[in-house]
Amino acid sequence: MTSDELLDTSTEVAYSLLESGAEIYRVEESVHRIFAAYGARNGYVFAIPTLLILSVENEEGRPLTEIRRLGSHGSDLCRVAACNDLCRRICRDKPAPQEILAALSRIRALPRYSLPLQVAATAAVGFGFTLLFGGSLADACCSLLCSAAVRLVLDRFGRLEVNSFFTTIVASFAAAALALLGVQVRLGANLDKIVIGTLMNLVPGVALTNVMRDIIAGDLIAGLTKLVEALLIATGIALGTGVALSLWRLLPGVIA
Amino acid sequence: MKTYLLPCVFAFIACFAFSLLCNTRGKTLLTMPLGGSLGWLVYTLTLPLAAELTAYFFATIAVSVYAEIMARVHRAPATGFLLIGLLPLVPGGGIYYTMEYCIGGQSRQFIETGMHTFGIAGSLALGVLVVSSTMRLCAAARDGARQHRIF
Repeated sequence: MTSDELLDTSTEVAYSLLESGAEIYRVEESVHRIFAAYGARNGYVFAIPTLLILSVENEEGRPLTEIRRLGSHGSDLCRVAACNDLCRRICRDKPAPQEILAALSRIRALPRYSLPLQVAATAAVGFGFTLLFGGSLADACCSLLCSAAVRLVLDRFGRLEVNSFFTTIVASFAAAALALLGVQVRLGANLDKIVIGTLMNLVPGVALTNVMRDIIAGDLIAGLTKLVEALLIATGIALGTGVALSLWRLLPGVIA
Repeated sequence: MKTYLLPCVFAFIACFAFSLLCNTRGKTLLTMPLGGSLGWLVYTLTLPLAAELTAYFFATIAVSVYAEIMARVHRAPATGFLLIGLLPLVPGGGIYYTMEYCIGGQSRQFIETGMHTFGIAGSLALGVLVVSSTMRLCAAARDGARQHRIF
């Protein structure tokens, strides 16, 4: 493999990993291993959640560099695992670049669950957490509906590529507003349990876990970026539900 | 039975659904949510014995150890198991009540609940830190300094 091809393929691998929400050290370590497997000289990699830089020395000793910019991305555990397997195979068998790229496009073509199933799963998350946090069965059913609405908002806004902060605000506003309605028509009784169960769909658990793993691994910039993301999501949740609740409390005054 | 087992079932349902949303497939679809149940079980068991933050800490330790074991069993990244397993422990309720006190104008409870929510997040972070660092130390001791085990 020439250094050109090596740079291209390893960038593709790293990009897939990063895009699927793998930790930074996993991305960097994978590239280092691929470089080592093919005997690259002076191979370096730098990754943060939004940027990827790879550099390797070519046959004449000149540096080759590739930069990729990433937008916001979710986490796709199936893809991370598949890319991880691919890296392990690359380091063991040292396949040709075409073979690696073909394997990568197979990984990218891996199916995602359909929207109806995602809506159902989101609803089930709300249902389970409302019960877990002490809501009644009626509350859980109410949360089921609120969560389904949250997923629809997330999906719609995701397609329009609205930034995640605003999406979180709108989604949690929808959740709280529907929960208030649900309580009003006596579908559920405990407003707090319904809203909390629904909001577990939006809570920054993924970001929070990744922050710690990145910081432990010494990737401070990446850790800070994700910490800010986690704080923003939490603020967005509080804002969205807060607006809904405040408006609701204002409502009697406006009508009367 | 009812106080311990039933919540674990609820946690399993919720975590199972959430792992679907993270596009999990295959055998891990069953073992990932089990981590969530385990975490909640450890949390409820340690709650009568210790302060709430300590209970969160021990639950996180349990989930992290479980994640490392399952990562070896399935030869898959530990992070997935960690993400799903920690989900029930993430302070969603804390965020909500903090916000409620804030718009209610109850500053004292607002600060108190806010600090408590941060405390829970800190407990989770500390738990992940302890186990991950230990695993790194073990891996480093075995393979020499630079080679971490990521695969």
